[in-house]
Amino acid sequence: MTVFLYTIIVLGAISFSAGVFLAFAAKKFEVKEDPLVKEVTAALPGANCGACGFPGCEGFAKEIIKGAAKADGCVPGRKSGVPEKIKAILENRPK
Amino acid sequence: MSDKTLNSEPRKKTFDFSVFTDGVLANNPVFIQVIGMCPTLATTTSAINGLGMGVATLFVLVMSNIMLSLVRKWIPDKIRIPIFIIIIAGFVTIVDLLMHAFTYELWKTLGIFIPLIVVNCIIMARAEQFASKNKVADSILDGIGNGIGFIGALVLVGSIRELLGNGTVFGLTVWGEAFRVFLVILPPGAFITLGLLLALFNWIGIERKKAEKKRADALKAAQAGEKA
Amino acid sequence: MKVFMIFFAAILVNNFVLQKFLGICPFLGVTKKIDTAAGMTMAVIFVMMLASIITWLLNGLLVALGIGFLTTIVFILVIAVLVQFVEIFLKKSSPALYQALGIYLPLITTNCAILGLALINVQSNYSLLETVFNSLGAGVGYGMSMILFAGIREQMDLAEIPEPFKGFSGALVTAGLMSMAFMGFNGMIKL
Repeated sequence: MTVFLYTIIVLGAISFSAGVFLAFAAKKFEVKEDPLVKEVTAALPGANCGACGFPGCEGFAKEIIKGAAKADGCVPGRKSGVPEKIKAILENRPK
Repeated sequence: MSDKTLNSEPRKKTFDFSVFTDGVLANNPVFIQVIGMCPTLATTTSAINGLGMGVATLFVLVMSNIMLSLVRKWIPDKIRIPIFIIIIAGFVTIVDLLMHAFTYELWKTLGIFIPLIVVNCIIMARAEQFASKNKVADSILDGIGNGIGFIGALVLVGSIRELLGNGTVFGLTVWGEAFRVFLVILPPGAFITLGLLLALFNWIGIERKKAEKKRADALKAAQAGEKA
Repeated sequence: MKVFMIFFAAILVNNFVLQKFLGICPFLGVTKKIDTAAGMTMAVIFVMMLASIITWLLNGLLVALGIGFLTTIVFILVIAVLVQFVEIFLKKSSPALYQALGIYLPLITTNCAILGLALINVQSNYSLLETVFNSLGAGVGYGMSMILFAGIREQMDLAEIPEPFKGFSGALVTAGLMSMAFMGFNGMIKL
């Protein structure tokens, strides 16, 4: 029985404190960001695999907006409509 | 078809079967998406090891897809990733304990790569791209499709390496010790085998495109001829 | 003396990428240029040290409570939270450091090298000092193979490569040849 109890207590305590800690940190150290980056990041697979050659999906999104990366640079998303979505987002962006 | 499906927008029709076939072939995790390379390289010293790893991943993928699409509406965006990870880690622990109990030999050979299913990019990618945006039924299909695609890739690489390195496939003798390239079983063999396989798939893609273009050109020429 | 053996064995004999297949995704992804490979290397070494020390301490707690089977969940949770916190923190407090190192952090959460290292440390029953040296060696070895590989790939960009071997397929074959070279270190250090 103690195993169950310890499991619940330890996991609960760690997850709860981690959640509170992260929420607090996110609030305290908030940085304003380009909403376009968020939009492009949401269109990406989110695997953070690095296959595009840029650091993570967000890094790729930033390079896309700067125009430094090609829309079909995301390898996992190449065949599942990601380049088209990126192009659509970039075309609709406010000037 | 494959270009249109798998969009991250929620699908209106449930049980769209193309979700399944996409994961297996058109959008194969290993050969097309090129993710989940670590287990593909590390656990394919034989076909049976590859199969074991693939099945374990399939289980985690399907279960976490179900779970995530059930709770997707209650997850705050900011702490999304830690929550995904803990759900996935829970199922991985289940698999780890099950394999320890029932398939001890396999558990020992796969070793550290069973707990490492947690950080397999395939599972994270499917969670982010699909399960967190779609209904349960579709998420199950997506999980099974991608899982089977992954198993297929692992078994293919594993069979090739086992055949060339050991002369057997799934432990059955094909040509035995008559022809063995020991290097293929060792780490460099994994890289080179997978590299050559990817090159083969690239080549098929390129040839297909060429053939398509030829056909289109011929059609255009014929139409032009008709007009004239 | 043993700690130095562990350190060098982790760099050369048990090289994470080329012998153990850990962290292949970023190894193939961010090695198109030496600069990005170097940035990623620094980030990996930093997170490896941090994560392995914390997971070592946590493992002591878990084992003492008799719930060692929770290692996977607890480790990955702590690593994910830690990495995300460092990222948020750097972004706000030190934009320069964030540009150099922080941008690679999202790639590291899902990098199997970090969790793999934490699990290896625990399974080998290393003491805290040995854990630190093993992690440092693993990080340096990972970085070394990444930077070497990036150098080769920069050269490959200038060469004429058959169409099917462009991209990942050629990179994998190259990595295979590098791995063959690293096999020469096999058996050099016996622990």
